[in-house]
Amino acid sequence: MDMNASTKVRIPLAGVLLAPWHSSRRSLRWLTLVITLLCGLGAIAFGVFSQKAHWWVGSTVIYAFGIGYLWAFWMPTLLLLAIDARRLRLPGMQRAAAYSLWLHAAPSLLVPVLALGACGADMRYVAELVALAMAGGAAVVLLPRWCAMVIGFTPALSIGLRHLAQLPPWSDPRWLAWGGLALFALLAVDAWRWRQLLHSDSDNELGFGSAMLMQLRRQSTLGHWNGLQQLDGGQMIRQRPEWMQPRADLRRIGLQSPVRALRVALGGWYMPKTLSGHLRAAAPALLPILLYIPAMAIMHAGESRSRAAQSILLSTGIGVVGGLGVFGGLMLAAMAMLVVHQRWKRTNAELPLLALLPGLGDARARRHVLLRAAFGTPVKVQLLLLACVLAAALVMHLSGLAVLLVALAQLAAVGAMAAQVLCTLGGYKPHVGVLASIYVVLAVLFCLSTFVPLLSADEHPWSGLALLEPALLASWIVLAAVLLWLGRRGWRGLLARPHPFLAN
Amino acid sequence: MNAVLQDTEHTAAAPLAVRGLVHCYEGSNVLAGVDLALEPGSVLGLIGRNGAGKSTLIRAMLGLLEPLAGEAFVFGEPALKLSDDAKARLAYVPQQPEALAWLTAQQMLDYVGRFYPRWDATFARKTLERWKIQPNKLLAKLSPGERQRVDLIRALASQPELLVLDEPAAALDPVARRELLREVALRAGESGTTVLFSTHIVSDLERVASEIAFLHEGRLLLRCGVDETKERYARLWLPAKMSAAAPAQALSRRRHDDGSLSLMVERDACGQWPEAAKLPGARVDALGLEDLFVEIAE
Repeated sequence: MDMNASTKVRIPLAGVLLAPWHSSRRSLRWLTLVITLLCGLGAIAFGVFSQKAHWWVGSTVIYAFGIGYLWAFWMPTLLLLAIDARRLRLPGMQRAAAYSLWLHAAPSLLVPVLALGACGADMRYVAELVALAMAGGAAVVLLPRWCAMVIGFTPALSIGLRHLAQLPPWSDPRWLAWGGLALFALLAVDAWRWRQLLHSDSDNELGFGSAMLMQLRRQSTLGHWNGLQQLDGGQMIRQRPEWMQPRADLRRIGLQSPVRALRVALGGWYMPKTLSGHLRAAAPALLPILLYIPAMAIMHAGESRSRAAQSILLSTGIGVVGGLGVFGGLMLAAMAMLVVHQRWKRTNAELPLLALLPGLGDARARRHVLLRAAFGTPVKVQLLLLACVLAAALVMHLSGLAVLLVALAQLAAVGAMAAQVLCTLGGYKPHVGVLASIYVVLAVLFCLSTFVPLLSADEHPWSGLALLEPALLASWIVLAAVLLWLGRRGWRGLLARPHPFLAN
Repeated sequence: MNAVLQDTEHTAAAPLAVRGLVHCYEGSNVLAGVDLALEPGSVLGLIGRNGAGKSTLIRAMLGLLEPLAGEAFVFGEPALKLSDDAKARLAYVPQQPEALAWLTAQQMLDYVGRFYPRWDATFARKTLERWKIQPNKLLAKLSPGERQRVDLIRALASQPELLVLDEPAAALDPVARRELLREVALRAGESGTTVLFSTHIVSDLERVASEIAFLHEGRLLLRCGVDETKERYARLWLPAKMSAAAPAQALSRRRHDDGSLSLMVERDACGQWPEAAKLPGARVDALGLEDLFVEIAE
C-alpha cells in the first residue's frame, strides 16, 4: 500500500524548493554550484564577446555543459531522498522529491531559452540542446555503471561509424527531429530508471549493474576527496559477482613465510592469488581495455587495411603502456594506501587477529615483517611499471630531462604511498588540509610530468618546454622533501608503538 | 609490605589482570581506573550497559589498545608486549568479527590454524558441519550470526587456556547461543579454560558465569560470585521521612516522586545490612540478577 496516497500531508513550498539542498552533501552542492555558475558566466561572456553570427550556439553549449553536470550529479540525489522516504514510510517526502524535480527543471530550461531567445537565438534549438543535456546528464547517473563505460566509447564509435551513417550537422533542419527523438528516448529511459530504482529493495550499490547515483549515497569522489576511504572491503566483496571474486592462494603460508601470511591478512591486491584469482581480480580493469581495442578498430575501419592494422597496434600499444604504466602505477599506489588505511581503521577485524597471532615474533620482528609485506609487492610492481614506461619513453625518443620527469612521476607515486602507509602504521594523522594540499600538488605535478614530455616528442616542440621542465624538476624536489618529512613522522610513530597492530 | 608483594605476585600469576586502567575517547572517560584480575579456571561475565566501556576494557586487557594510564597483564606478561607463547595460549573473539572477509570459512580456519601449536583441525571441521556453515562460502557473504560462529570456532579450535569473548551471543539465535554457552561451560569445566565474556544478556551470565563484574560508566561497581548476588546485594527502600538516615555508601540511589528513597546496598564484612534497614518503615527487597543490573544501571 502506498502510504503517501493514503495520507494527506501538506508539503510546504520551501521544503520542495530546498529538497535538493537537503538531499546532497555540502561538498557536492558547492562543487556543482560553482561549475554551473562558471558555465553560466562563460555562456554570457561568450555571447557578449563572440563576433560570429551563430554566437548563441557556443553560449548554449557552454550552458548545457554546466546544467548537464547539475542534472547528472545534484538533481538525481532527489531520487535518493525519495528512496529513503519510501523505505522509511515517511509521508509526503516522496512526493516532495518528485515535485522538486519538476520545479527545478522548469527554470533550468526556461531561463536560458527565454534569455537567449530574447537576444535573437533560435529558441527551438536552445530548448532542445538544454533539455538533451539535462536528460542525458540524469541518464548517465541513473543507468547501470556499465552503460557509462559504453557511453565513454561513443565518440570513438561515432567517428568510426561516420562511413556508414552520419548525424545531420547542426545547421540541418533534420537535426531538430533527430534531437527530439533522442530527447524522447532519454526521457523515457530516465523515467523508467527512476521508477525502477525507487521501487528496488536491492542494496547493491557497488556492482557494475548498479546506478552511479547509488554511489553518491556514500562519500564518493564527486562528493568528498577521500570518499574511497569510506568503502568497506566486505561490502565490495558482497557486491562483486561470483566470477569476479579473487581467490586466495594459501600455499606456502604459515610460520615459515610470515610476510606472505601477512599479505593474506592485508587482503585486497596484497593478497597472494591463484592464476584464476589474478584474472578475476583484474577483470574490472581488463574489461575496459578489451573494449578499447575493438573501439580503436572501429575508429580506423574506414582506412586502408595495412594502415589500419599499424595504427591500431600503435594506438593500442601506447594506450596500454601509458594507461597501465603511468596511471596504473598511480592507481596501485592509491590502492595500497587505501587498503592499509582501511585495515588500520577497524578494531574488530584483522588487527586483533594479527596482534594476537602467535609466531610473528616480538614487536621489532613484527614491524619488520609488516613493512616487508606492506612495501615489498607494491614497490616491485611499481618498478616493473617504471621499466615499461621508461622503455616506451626511450622508443618515443624523449629527451633526457623528459625521461627523468616521467620517471619522477612514477617514483613520486611510490613515495607518496610509502609516506602515507608509514603514517597509517605509525598512527600519525596529518591535518586534512596538509594532506589535501600534498595530494593536489602531487596530482598536478604528476599530470604535467606525464604529458609535458610528450610535447617534446612532437616534430615542433613547444618553446616553453625549456622553462617548464626545470621548473617541474624543482617542484618535484620540494615535494620529495615534504613526502620525506611525512614519512619520517609516520616512521617515528611506528617506532613509538608497542606493536604495529594498534588501530587508529 | 608482604600484602603488597602477595598482591603483585597474584596479579602476575593470573591469566588476565589489569590495574588502574584509564582511557578516554574524544574527551569523555571510558575507563576510570579499573582493577580486575581473573582466577585460573574461572568464568567471569562482564556486564554493563551499551557504552559502559566493556569492549574498551577487554581490548585494553589484551593489549589491543594503549590505555592512557594503568597496566594490563596476560599470563603475567605486559599485554602490549606479549610473547608468542602467551599468544598461543589465548583466544579472542571481538564483537561482530569482520576479519579476513575475502577468505572462505574453511580457508580462514586453515590459515589461522597454521600459527597455533595446539590447533584442533578436526574440531574445526566437525563444528563447521554441526553448525551448518558452508565451508566454501566467503566470510563476507555469511550472515552476522554465521560469521560470529566461524570466529568462535576459530577461537575454540586453538584450544586456548584463556578465552575472551566480547558480546559473543549478540548476533546468535537462541539455539546457537545455547550451544555456545554449553561449549564455554564444557571448556571451563573439563579443560579448566579461563573465560572472560562480556554481555548484557543476564540469562547468559546465570547459565555459565561463575563470577560477574559490573561495569558502569567506566568503573567496576561490583564483583562477586553469581550465586552470591542474591545474598549480598539488596534494594533498601526508605520512606520519605526516613530518607535522611540513608547510608552514605550505596551502589545506586534513586528518589521517588513521593520523597521515598531506593538504594542498592551491600552487606558489610559481618554480613549485616546497613543500620538504616532496621528503621521503622524501611524494607529490604532481595533482587534477581536482572533486577540488580537494572537498579544499578538506571
